[in-house]
This record gives sequence, structure tokens and C-alpha cells, in this order.
Amino acid sequence: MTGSHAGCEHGVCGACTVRVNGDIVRGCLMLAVQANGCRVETIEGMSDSGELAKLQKIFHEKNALQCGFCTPGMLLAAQDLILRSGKPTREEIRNHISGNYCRCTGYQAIVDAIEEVVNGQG
Amino acid sequence: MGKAELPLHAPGTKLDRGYIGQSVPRPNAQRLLQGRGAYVDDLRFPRLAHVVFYRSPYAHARIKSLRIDKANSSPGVIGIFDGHAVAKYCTPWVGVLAHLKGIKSPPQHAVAIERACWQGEAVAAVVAETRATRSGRSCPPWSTWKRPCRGKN
Repeated sequence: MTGSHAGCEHGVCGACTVRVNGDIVRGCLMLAVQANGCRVETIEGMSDSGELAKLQKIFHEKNALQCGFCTPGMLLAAQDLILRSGKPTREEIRNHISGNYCRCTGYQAIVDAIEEVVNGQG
Repeated sequence: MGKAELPLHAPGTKLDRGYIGQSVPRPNAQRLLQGRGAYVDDLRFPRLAHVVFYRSPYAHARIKSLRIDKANSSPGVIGIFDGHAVAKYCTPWVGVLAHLKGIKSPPQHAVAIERACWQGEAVAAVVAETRATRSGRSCPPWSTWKRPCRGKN
């Protein structure tokens, strides 16, 4: 699988984000042996299950991606926030995705998209 | 809008028609949103090899010796190529300015020949079967240098 991306390879950029036992983690900082017996979810599985469908739809509508390299990690971080916080403010959204770098969009459209999903307009 | 944000367009700005200022639909973004894009790093070819560059530790230095024969014998390494070897396949880049006739850069080789002009300039290309067997980044001390470079060029 190549959906989760190795970007900086030292835990800064968030492109490698995967969900392990319900928590989002940096894939690049976790050894495979540490995942032994854990439930590991990636962008592929979470797309197929439909869990991210709403976020993906609004990200697409709002052009909240360009090259798409950061997008799998960005979506997992956004979904994590939605599951935890319910109705975060715009500042909280920015704070929560601050560990996910995007070099294309300037973040505005990403924050817009997450905010729209949070507000239930998606 | 949060405090860190500015409006997308200055007040009173008149936008041109066309693509500028418009949201253009991107059907190909669907697969990127599912993590199903294909980036260069995702491509797999038969006999695919990996390259890592051994880079100059100095901002400006002459390469006194480069023992690529020694490093070449490391297991898993397919070949190591210095600037002379790469130059046989790749002509040097010469930067020019269209609006300043006659201004041009010296030839810039893909891999440095005889001297490095900036820290991090590629000095040797290490080609290996896997990323794990590459020996480029934490390179064994198989080069010697003379610095600072006081030569004419």
C-alpha cells in the first residue's frame, strides 16, 4: 500500500499518519514490531469503509488539495478531531492539523473543508 | 475567519475572467483523496535500483581523491559513478538570461568534477539494489579534499 506517504521521515510532516488502535500516529516513527497485534488503519481502508466519505467529498468540492501527497494524513487528522471534539472551532481545527504539512494549498481551503464537515453542511 | 487569516482578495479588487479566481473542478483529485495516487516513489519497475548521492561536506573544496573502486565492492551496491562517469551521459547545464545577452553560468555538471562549489553538491552517485544497502548518506571516508579552493577557476 502506498497511500500513507513517507515525507520527512522524522515525525514532523504528518504525511505518514495512520491510525493504530484508534489513535493517529506517525507511521515513520513506529516500528512494524510495535504494531504487532494492533489494529492498523490506513487511508485505503478508511476510504473503502466510507468513514471518510464526507470529508473526501468536501475536500474535493473545496479544492482542499493540489498534489495530494499530504491529503491522506490530513484526512486522518481531521477525522480524529471530528471523532474526539465533535464541534471544534476554526482555531481548534488549525491547531489540530498543525502537525500535518501541506506545501500546496496554504491550508485555507483545508480548514474551510473541515469546518464545513464539522458544521454538518457536508 | 481566524485571526491568522487575511481575506483572499484585497477589498475592491477586480478579478479577470477565465481561470483566475475560479474553482476549476478536478476529477483526478478523487483518487488522490483515497490515497490511490501514484507518485514517483510508488513506481515499481523490473530491475529497479536506488540511487543516493554522496555529497560534499565543504562549501568549496577540490576533490583530491575519490576511492570509488573500494566502495564499489560493498555488497548490494550495483555501481558508484563520479562526475566524469556521469558526464558521459549528461551534458552540463549552462544557465543563461534571455534579457541579458552574454551572461551565462559556468557549466554545471550533474555530479561535481574535480571540485565542489557548494556544501551538499553531489560528488558521487551510489546505485544499490535497495535503499537499505545504499552507502551514500553516511558515506565511508573514501574521499580526501583540499580546501579552501584557491585555484584560478
